[in-house]
Amino acid sequence: MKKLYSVLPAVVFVVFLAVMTLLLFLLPHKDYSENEKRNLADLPEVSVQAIMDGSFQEDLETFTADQVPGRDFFVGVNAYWNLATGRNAAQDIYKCKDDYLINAPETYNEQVFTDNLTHFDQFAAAAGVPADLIMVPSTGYLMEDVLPAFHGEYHDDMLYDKAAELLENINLIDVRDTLKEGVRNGQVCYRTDHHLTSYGNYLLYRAFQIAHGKAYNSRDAYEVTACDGFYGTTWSGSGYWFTPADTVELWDSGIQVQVTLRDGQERTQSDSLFFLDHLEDMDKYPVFLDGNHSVVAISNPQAEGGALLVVRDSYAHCFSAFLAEGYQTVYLVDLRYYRESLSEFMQTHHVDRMLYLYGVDNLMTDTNSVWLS
Amino acid sequence: MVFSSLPFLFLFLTVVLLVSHLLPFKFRNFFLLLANLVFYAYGEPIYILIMIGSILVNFFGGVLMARQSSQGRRRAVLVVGIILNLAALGVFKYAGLFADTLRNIPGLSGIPQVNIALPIGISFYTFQAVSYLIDVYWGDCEASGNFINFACYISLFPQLIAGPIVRYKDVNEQLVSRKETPTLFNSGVRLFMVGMAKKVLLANQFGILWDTVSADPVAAGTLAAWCGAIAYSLQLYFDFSGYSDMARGLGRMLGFEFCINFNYPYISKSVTEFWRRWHISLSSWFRDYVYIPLGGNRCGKVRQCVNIFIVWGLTGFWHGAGWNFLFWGLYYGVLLLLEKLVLGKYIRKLPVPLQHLYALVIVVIGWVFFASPNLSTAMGYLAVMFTPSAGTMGGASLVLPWLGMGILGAVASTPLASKVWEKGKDRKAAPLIEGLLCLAALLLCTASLVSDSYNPFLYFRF
Repeated sequence: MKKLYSVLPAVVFVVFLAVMTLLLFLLPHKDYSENEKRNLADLPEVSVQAIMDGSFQEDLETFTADQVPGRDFFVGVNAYWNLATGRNAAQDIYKCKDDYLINAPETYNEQVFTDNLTHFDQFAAAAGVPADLIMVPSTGYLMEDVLPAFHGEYHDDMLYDKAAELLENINLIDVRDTLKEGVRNGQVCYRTDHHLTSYGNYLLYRAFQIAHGKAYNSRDAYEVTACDGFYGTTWSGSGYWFTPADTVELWDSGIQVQVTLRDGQERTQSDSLFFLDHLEDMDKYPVFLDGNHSVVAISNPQAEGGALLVVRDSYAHCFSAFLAEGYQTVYLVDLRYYRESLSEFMQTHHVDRMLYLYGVDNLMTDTNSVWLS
Repeated sequence: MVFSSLPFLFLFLTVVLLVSHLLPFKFRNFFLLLANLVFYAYGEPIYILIMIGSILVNFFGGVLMARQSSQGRRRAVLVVGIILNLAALGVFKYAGLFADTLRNIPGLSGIPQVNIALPIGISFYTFQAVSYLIDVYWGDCEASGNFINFACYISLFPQLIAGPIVRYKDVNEQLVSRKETPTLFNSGVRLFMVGMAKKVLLANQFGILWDTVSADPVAAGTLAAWCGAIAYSLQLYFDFSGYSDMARGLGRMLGFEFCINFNYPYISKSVTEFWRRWHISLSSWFRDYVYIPLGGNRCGKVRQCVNIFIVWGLTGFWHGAGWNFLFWGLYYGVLLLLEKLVLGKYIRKLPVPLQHLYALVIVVIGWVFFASPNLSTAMGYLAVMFTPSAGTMGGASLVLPWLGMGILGAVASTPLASKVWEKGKDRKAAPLIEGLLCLAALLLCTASLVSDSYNPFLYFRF
């Protein structure tokens, strides 16, 4: 015993290596990582060809990395170690005050942004219907007070200025002040996700109505159901596993709707804007419109307005519940998946107004606006 | 395969340690040779033939030399052997550079493009092989008569791909018999973990800052450019010395003792001292096999200057096939000569902190040449360092998150921790503390390696 104690590092080392190696092969291998939303690799098959071209070695690296015992534990250890050594502001996700996890500023890419807005503007001119643009500011921009020291600079103001300069046929609805003011009165941004909360989306809806000179519902017109235990995508990416869960709120104005989700030829119908199955998941944001789909149609025959087309990213999932109050049909089109002619779509469906709704960061990275035709 | 990877730790090393300690000694070198070949083939499934070729040429070169009775014939074998070794290095390492350079000369633009990937570790094992032939020629060691042992020496996986450059005469006895004790194994684990922590927890992290700054030094500004160059200096030191520590540690776990390769180079007070502490196995190789045979300092000042330039030009060139490496080597040749002939006596009179500052600034500037893909990039980077500018990336907020790491890195490049350990190692609690540190290092290094592969699917970021 005494002898073993004198070589304790060697004992620790050998036991650690042996246990990790054994567990790597004995534990059942996982197929899917919920945190990363991707399939995990299994042990690659050995072949001379694969070894000679190096693909076996690559696959083996992926296998050990994906199936290493205690993977999430290690990711967490690394995140908190980086934090403890003062590198919070050097990470892609900041750990902020009040348990906020916030994405570091997106790399400034004026070219992609300009291309996107130019495509939007040209398409709106050709479509010949009134068009608006809502750019949802980044959480870091809205929540400056909670950011860590030495954080990077958010470019939202520069991008708003650039947008004002570029757009000729689209009305830019500036939601920056509304949301910043909202931050003082309630939770506008999720703590564990990059999207806006339902309250934040309500503020967007109010700004949208005001921009059109229309009346809007007050907050107490909604029946609010709060659901705890929400861990969004920022949380998944951060490794800060001890961050307390967020709350998702479902704001129901009581309207009767029919929702159709379309992906290619596949269609799914629902009579609710909320897909409650997703409340069982860690990431509960898909409770709004079931997450990403190519085309979503929401019909509300009692509404006054006609047909509204929303060209959008996932920031519109929650927002559409508010939009549906005012339009007989709201069509949501996601250019990441939609590859048909949008102008034909607009004619077929008698669209008489359109809205572009994007997170401002996505306008610097997403290049799918080239598909607008 | 690199040591700081999950397949090495949780597949290769576990199996090699287990089997090599279970096997009777007479089979161990054979098993180790197999392990070496698997290790090398994992990274170079095709170029392993070159290494095997090198083993054959040098083994039979040694045998042949031993059989010659006349000095002239021995010399002939030596010359042929060296030419073959250097030819392999020339073809696989330098042919591309020479072809590219010659193509710029008018009339030679027809020289074809040479795209030969550099076989991993060829610079290291070729130098080991050359030292072997020369030592046999000089009679410093006997030619190996055991092919397994010799092949095992050339391909020994701990030092195969990044040194230290081990000489056959230093390990030939260990190849025949070596004593593996728990204490030696324990000290091997300690060295290996220190090296792993240097590589994974320090070097890789400083690399992130250097990559950010060097991607656009003009936008980063002067402050960040200096911090970036310092970060690279720390990255390179922890990377390289960490690798050597891991190599020596693995060697001890298998019963070998390899030479020390780094001796706290950043505490040097002059450039001369720096090169006595940095990559010792390479500098001593050039000293013993190039500088001294050329006459060293025994043939007058002029000849000594020429010798120094030859050695430093070659040292620079050894580090990489690029003219910036040659320049970097000659930069040190000039500085070392200046220190030897003129500056040395003045530098020694400076206050000690200034001596340190002098050496560090020279070294940091040197690394800019070393790290840059070519000379003009290096000059551009140095221009940012020496013409004050704020940059556009918010220089201070770029580097300030690294302050804590910088201090950690600076302290870790001094012998402080080692001195503390020397003082406390005989206390009763020492093994416990060491065991805990070892566990912490294992957990943190694994965490860092695992996190490199942790990629939440960006698709869902929208």
